[in-house]
Amino acid sequence: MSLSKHLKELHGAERQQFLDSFDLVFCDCDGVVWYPLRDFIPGSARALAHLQQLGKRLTFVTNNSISSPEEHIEKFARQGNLKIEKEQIVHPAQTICDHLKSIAFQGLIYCLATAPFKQLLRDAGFHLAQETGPTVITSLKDLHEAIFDGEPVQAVVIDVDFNMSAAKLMRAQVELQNPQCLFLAGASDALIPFGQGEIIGPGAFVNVVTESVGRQPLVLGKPGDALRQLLLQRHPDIPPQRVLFVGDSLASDIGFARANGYQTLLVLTGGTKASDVTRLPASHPQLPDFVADCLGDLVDID
Amino acid sequence: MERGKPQHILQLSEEQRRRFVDSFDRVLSDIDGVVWNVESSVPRAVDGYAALQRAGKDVVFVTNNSVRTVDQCVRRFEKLGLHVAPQQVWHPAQSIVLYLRDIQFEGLIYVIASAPFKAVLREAGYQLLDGPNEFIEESYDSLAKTIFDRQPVRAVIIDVDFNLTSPKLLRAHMYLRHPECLLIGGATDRLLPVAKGVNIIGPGPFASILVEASGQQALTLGKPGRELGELLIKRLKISEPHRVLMVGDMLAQDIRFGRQCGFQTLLVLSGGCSLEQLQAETSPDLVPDYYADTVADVAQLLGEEPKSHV
Repeated sequence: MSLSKHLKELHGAERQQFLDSFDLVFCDCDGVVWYPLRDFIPGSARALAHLQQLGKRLTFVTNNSISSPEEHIEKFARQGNLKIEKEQIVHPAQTICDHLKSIAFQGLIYCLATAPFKQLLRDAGFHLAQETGPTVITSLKDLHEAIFDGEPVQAVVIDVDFNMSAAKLMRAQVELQNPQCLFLAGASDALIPFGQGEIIGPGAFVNVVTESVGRQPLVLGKPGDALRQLLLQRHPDIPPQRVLFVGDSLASDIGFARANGYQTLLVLTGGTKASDVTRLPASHPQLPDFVADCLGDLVDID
Repeated sequence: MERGKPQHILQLSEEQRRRFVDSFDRVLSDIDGVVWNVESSVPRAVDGYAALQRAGKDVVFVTNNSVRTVDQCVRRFEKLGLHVAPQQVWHPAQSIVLYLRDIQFEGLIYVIASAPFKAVLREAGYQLLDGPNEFIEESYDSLAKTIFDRQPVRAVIIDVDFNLTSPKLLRAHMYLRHPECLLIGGATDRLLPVAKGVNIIGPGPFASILVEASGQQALTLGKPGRELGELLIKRLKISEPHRVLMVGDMLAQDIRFGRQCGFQTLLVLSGGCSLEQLQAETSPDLVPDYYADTVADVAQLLGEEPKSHV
């Protein structure tokens, strides 16, 4: 017996009460709106259109920087027939870029991320450091080159890097010995849903640097505290209890959203199974308020 | 027994010195940071071991460094004027081989480690998978091809790999989903001193990623691993652990290991730990019984020993 209410159990007045209880929806994309990096999940486009018709404000909070905000918008239009504005998408490359602009950052950035992430920063006028040393390290001398031979940087940025390496993390750690060097992170999930289960996420690599340097990064992706603050500041007019956060990950979505006092809805189309939820005790900080098989349950109830 | 602050071995009274010297028969010693550092040797360190051997103490070196071969190690000792037999040197690659034989391990191994480390396992007859040794194409499709593999891997081994990448760790994690797949670690150091005051990230945090992701504890055959302690005690037939002296420069590796095994412990300040760090340490697992500037102090300690008998 789950402590979270299943949307399908809500009928009549109860259902109306739920729909009336929020004005703003923060919604994850991969595993919620669409299958990770693939097609829309059946029913999700209809549910989102329904929320728009009800006058709910919609913001998408994704950790995926492999696709740019423009690509997200294009996908919403093409596959979901939904008109989404750039401001409705919160995306780690963008939040980091916005943050750097807000502090008028100048200097070189050592950026461990995907090519599209780095391109977004370059397009905004930021300068990124090159890798040094040989790609395959065969001696201590090679390692030394990779770690120490680069130009000093003023910021280290870590997000998903398909080829994260020990040498890159070692260089990041060495750069961060300079207390003036900024330390920013995007997506910081410890594990991410992939295939039939979960794979090690970018948070594990961020932690390696955090632990070895002994200082915390500003985390502008889920489940970072800086992103939580940023979401609160985006809609100061809406009290947190009138916000519904929808996601597929207990740690990166539900736990994250509950820390802001939002209502939470877990969908089972991503990395979490129903049994993962029933296992949680009432006091667990990642226990969602509501559970649904899929986002489509928002309109299909009753 | 109440343990006091560690004492400098050259500040012991005559009586204390004699009792200390008589209190152990065997010395287990670290190498890096004790005998030599990356670029230089610790002055007269070998005199310490020569004096120990002359005093009838059995010396065995227990290093966490499998990146160099035992032969290279023995040759470097030779150059410094100390004869060390290959069987006197223990390192994680070889300890893992002994461990795998003890548990009669059979099966395929996925290994994240240096070339010399892998060579030791291959020479022992084990069949290894490794890689990818190059960067992968940046896409989830290519990642999936790299990490999902149906081969029946029954052990994942992780040690120092200068070319460690996230696809290797993600692939290892997938093998560890199999309930019978063992997780075996070598070196555990979280930071490695590469020059005075300069530390780089060591292999420990990468092994920890696999421990956390898989929810499985690692069998650790580097210091301060419990499995290494049991193996050494068995193979060296140590019946009285308190008559063993562990010498090393790292609190978290050498001293923790020695304390865990019930050995006496001597920290030398020639490597990864400063006097300030030693004095600031309060955890009973990490505070050594004794300390010295370098192993050369041991020669002095023993050189003066005969005087006390006169």
